[in-house]
Amino acid sequence: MINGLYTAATGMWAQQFKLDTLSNNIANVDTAGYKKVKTEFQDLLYDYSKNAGAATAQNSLHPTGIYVGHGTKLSATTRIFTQGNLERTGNSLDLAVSGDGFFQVQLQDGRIAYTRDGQFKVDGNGRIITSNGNLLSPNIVVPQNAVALSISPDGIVTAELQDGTLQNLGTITLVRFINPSGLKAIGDNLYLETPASGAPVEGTAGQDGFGTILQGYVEKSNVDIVKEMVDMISAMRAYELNSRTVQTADEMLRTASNMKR
Amino acid sequence: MYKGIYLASMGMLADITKLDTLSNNISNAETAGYKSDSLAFKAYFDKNLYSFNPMPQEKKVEIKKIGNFEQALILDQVKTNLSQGVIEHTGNALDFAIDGEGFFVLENNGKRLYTRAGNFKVNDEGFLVNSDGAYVLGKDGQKLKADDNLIEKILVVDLENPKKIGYTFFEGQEKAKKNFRILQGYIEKSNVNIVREMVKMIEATRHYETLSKAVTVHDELLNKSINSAGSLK
Repeated sequence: MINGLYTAATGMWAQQFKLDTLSNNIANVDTAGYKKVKTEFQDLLYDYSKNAGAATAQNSLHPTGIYVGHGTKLSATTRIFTQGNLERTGNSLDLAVSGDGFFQVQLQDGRIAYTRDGQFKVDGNGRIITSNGNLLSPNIVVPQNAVALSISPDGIVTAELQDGTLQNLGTITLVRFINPSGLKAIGDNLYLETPASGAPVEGTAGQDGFGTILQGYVEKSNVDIVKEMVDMISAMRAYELNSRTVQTADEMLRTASNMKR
Repeated sequence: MYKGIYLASMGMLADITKLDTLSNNISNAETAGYKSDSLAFKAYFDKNLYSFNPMPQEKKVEIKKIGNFEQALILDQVKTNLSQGVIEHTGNALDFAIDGEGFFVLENNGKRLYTRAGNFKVNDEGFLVNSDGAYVLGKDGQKLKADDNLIEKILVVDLENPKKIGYTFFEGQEKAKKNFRILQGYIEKSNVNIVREMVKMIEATRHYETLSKAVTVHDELLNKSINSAGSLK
């Protein structure tokens, strides 16, 4: 049939995929620590029926070739780890990283996951956990007689006890990856290490390029709603254009079939 | 049979080829660094037409060329339009766009590839790569490590006879680079002009329709000559 029919279909599929990603970004516009995802496309392979530079006769060459492309494909969905807005909540267990670095969280199965969502809670045993019950790693245990908790920009956790004394509970460390875009998102605002992300590098907040920890703040998502809407409009129009191509190919086939009477 | 019926059908096939190319352009309207293609057709089997004027008194025949007759239409060439695409601000430090002429040089399995799509990534070893994992090369021809002054280090070359090989890559012979600058935090979008593509598509459809009419008319004439000519009615 007509090649262009299938070529246009690849274009429609690509835009549909883009919309799926945009819609996930928009759905997570209010998710703390969410990092937006960008879709990238590439053209597909080309069919060369005549190569540029091939001989036309003994002393002449084709200046340009004859080829036809096969449409577009998704090349990557890249997560963009730019800083989200920091919102002040005043809650002593809300932590935000200003700059580079992830909090470490221990999953129920023992694996370590990474997150930018610093809305921590305390469980019945005084351990600092995420809203899903995963332990913050290295874990900090808040004593039962603590009345206030303060966390310094470099991650040192200090509790003020009922008798007014201060107790050092430990340090919250951060990790960095050479290629954070290579991390695997597993939902619940968590990421896992992959061979593409590189190994985690642990360090102290505020040192060696790590960001500082802000107590009483939450990092909002870095989704820029205006950008997403503009992208949505352009995806919709591109989809429409490709559907026109499908329609045109269809019309051409109908014309061809109507020639025989 | 009739020459015209084949001529018209060759024109129709040419229009389908045109649609294939337009369709590829449109489906890549959102592909970073994509360069649009356009088609050029040419007449094939050009034949001269002569008029013969016998002049018995002078015992000779006067032959006069009165024009030519084109017997077929074929696709002559596909041209890549290398003009600048729209440069979009992304703010991502790993996005690069070339303002001007030239291509980024990437290396995959020891082979050099060229592209205008500057949406690069960093791999697990800290090298600048594209989404297929091909290494971006620096001015000294070495793989580039991602650091602060990437703009000064990225290699850009111009190509003699750039040839598309898919995945927004080009092949060709390197030649000295011309005027360009690299912009960080920007992406070059495709240079597909949607309006032009749509107009071309309308043109192709209508042309195709007209030719299909020509085929049916020829068919009617054949019908007449087979079934009606010679019958006494």
